[in-house]
Amino acid sequence: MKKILTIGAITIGMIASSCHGKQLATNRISCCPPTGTTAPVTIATTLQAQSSIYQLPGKWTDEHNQSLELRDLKGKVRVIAMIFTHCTYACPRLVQDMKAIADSLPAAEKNKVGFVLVSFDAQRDDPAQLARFASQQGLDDHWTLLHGDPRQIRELSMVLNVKYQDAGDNTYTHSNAILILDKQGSVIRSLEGLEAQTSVADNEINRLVNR
Amino acid sequence: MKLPAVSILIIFFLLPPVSSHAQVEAPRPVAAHGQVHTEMIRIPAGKFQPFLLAADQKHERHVAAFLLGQHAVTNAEFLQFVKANPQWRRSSVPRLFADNNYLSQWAGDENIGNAAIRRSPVTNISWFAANAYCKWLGKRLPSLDEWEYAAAARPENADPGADLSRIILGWYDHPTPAILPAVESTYRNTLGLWDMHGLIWEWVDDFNSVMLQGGNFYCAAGSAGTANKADYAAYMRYAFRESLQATYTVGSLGFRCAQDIK
Amino acid sequence: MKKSSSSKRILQPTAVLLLAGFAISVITACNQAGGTKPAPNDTATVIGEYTADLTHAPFVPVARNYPKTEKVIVNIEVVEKVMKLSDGVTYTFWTFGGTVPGPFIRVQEGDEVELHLSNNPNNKMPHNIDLHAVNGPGGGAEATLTVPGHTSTFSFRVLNPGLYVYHCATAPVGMHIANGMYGLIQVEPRGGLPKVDKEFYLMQGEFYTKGKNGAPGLQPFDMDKAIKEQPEYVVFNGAVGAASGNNALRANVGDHIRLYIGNGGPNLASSFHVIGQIFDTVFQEGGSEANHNVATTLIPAGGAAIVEFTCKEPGTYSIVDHSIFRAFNQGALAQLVVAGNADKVVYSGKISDELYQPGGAVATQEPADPAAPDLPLAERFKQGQQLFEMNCSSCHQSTGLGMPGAIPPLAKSDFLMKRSDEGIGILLNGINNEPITVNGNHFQGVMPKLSLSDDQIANILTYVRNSWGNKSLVVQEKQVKKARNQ
Repeated sequence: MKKILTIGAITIGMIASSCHGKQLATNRISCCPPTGTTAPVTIATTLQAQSSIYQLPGKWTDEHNQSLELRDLKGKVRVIAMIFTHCTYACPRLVQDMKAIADSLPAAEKNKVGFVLVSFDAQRDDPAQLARFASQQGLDDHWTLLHGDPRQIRELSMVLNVKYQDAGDNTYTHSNAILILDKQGSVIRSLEGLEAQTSVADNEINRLVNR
Repeated sequence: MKLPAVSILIIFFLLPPVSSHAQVEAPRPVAAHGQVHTEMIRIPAGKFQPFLLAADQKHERHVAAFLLGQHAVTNAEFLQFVKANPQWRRSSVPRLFADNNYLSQWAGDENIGNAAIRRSPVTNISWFAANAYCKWLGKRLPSLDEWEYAAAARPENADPGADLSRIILGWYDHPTPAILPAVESTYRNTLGLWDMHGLIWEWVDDFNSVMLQGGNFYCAAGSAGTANKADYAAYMRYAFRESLQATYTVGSLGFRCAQDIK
Repeated sequence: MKKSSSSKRILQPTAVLLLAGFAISVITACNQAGGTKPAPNDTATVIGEYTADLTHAPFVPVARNYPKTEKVIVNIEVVEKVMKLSDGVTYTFWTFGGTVPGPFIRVQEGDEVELHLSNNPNNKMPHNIDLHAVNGPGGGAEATLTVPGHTSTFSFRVLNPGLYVYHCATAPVGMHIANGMYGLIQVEPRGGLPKVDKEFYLMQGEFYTKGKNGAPGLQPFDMDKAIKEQPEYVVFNGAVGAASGNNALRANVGDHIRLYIGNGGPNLASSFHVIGQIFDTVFQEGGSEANHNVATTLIPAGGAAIVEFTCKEPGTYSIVDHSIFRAFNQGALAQLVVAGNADKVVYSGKISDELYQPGGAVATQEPADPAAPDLPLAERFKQGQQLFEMNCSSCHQSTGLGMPGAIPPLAKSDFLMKRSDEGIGILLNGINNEPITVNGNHFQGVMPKLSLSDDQIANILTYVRNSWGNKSLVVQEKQVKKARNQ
């Protein structure tokens, strides 16, 4: 009898503690300093099929100090987001969400998909800093991190429909989106907000990889 | 001779693409420059109070001296650009850079059609088109701060007691005319600029830094407040900017160029 | 040992019960804390799809049979246009669908609505829509900010029945609403509302113009008046006279009527009343609770109400905001014209109109007759006294006291003074044995009919009615003449 009671108590204790864990998860701290705004709801939007963003000219530098142009990203399905490495709120979430997408890809697709991070911060996120960030985050060679000049960054934000503002004090206020591009570089899907939509992304990638 | 930064940007923009996709080809050098001379007005450095305030941002912002076009770019001027840069023709521009309403007021690729609008501001042009035009002339689009600062100057003959916001609202009350009037038809402000309000909306370089309404906004101390809740005209301008994307073309939206002072 | 085993027997079941109770409470608390909410009961499968029939005020779309939840496609275009606000007065309205108010949207609880909001390319402003029927951020405003020349689409499930306002919510919101961007969406409860004979759509709103009420020409919006909440116009359906006169609502006697009334504001609450009608049923604020037998109901700015009543009498009924200066000076007046047969029991109309002169007998005004001239009281009194002495005093006495039991008195005679003919009939016809009561005393006898002229009768009566404590107006000759000729 004692045994049953003990087991019962332990079981209930486990349920209660996992419940508590769930509670913590739903009380995610939103991106911003507390202003009362809650984490935005994800809107999975399919943008109208645009022509390729790789039409945008300009020389970028990656985390290995290699020079490249956007059209060099052709040939693979790309998952892309704009961040800056000193962002302590939303950007880590974006990177986490992209990692989750990467991890959930079937093995056959992994080498057909590339992940791209472009920094808002031309001044501080030079290639060396990008390399440090990639290392900290454990980003392997499926990932490309790009540094460009302020002009290029503004133009890229325009084609990706990402809003941002240099807020001074080395921070940037920006919208949050993970975009999925087809092999030619057209934006097929924009996942906005900070809620992970891993399965939606996986489905889209699967469709695009096999086109 | 040290090349100014603007020229370096132009050179990058000129690099020829390789792929088979229709790409934006290098704009031809500014041979047509002389035909599109719009007087640039020197705007002195100063401080102004931005309309959108972040919770922790200062209430005053500083703007360095710069040059700004005396009036908006006209249809006739934009025609010179299209002739020199055929990739910006209505029938060839990539959808990435302009939606399919681009230059819909013209009769053809290189034909304005209606003589009455030659001196009217060019509208139905995307941010990319406006950006490319300014670059072609060795200029750029003004920043939001620069434009707002220049637009805050009062009309030359305004009643000194009248509130500028009310004057602007008065213009918004009138419906859009069937034929867009010519530049220099509304008012000149104390800086010497024509039609900053009351003729068209105007593109600025960083219009997509406006995050006014809730929802998808983001480390968004920036959306915390506005400087003057009674400035309805400013609300309208910012709400309009917020509704835009860079490829959009709108019949009441044009632009003028700015330039750094060397 | 015995003690321990018996206490153990009590302890064990108790412990089990406690543990079970604790388990249950933990699990239910866990579910609540973990965020698993009960699913809304209106996520039943949507069957079929149709495009909503949108109507402009004062008309309401015909109710469907609403057998099942459906997908409804709603297409609305925003148009900025100059229209009439009052006679000689125009205004640049910003409209949903080209009218103020915007179109009436009618759906059923549980439907999925897919809304396409288009912004006409000739417009200057970006616009969006916030529907109070939407559960979601901004009521749709965040999903629909649209630049001129574009269409935005979003969809929502209507979970709550009721009558709701929708409006534009683009900054500056007050100005977009003040320029006319509002309308109503009706979410029918499952199965629909009971059928009535006629349904109408009215929406109240204010307009703030630079010029005063009535100042002619195209009037600009006045922001200062809007902030002070001092409109120049308060109207139903977007203009003075939009629902009155030739545009009045029409119905028949016996019709059971339902009015859907919205209040777009932007600022004022409405004290809604139909003059001459009582609302049999009011769904106050457009909600689910019904009140009955109400004459005036309050509709908040940004709110709505449904009222029902039956037209019992024909006529023109004024529909007003009972903050009454708004109705008479600013245009808050609509009309319902009811045709049919009158029922005089319910409403008789005017029965009589008489002169009212406090302090004397009620005298009906006779027109002047030159053949029978009016004379002043003093003159007739003097003449009458002589005639009385000659013809009447032998029976009625000079004192006017008569003879108790035989001849009735004239002094303070209630029988004489309360007669509506002022005694004229007595002198014209005499009294022939009919029983009468004078001052509580019974008399029955004969008073001879004397041959006296009209003028003489007038004089005698004037004298008698102003003597011995009697007081009355002069009796004129024409009154006697008229009575004689009847």
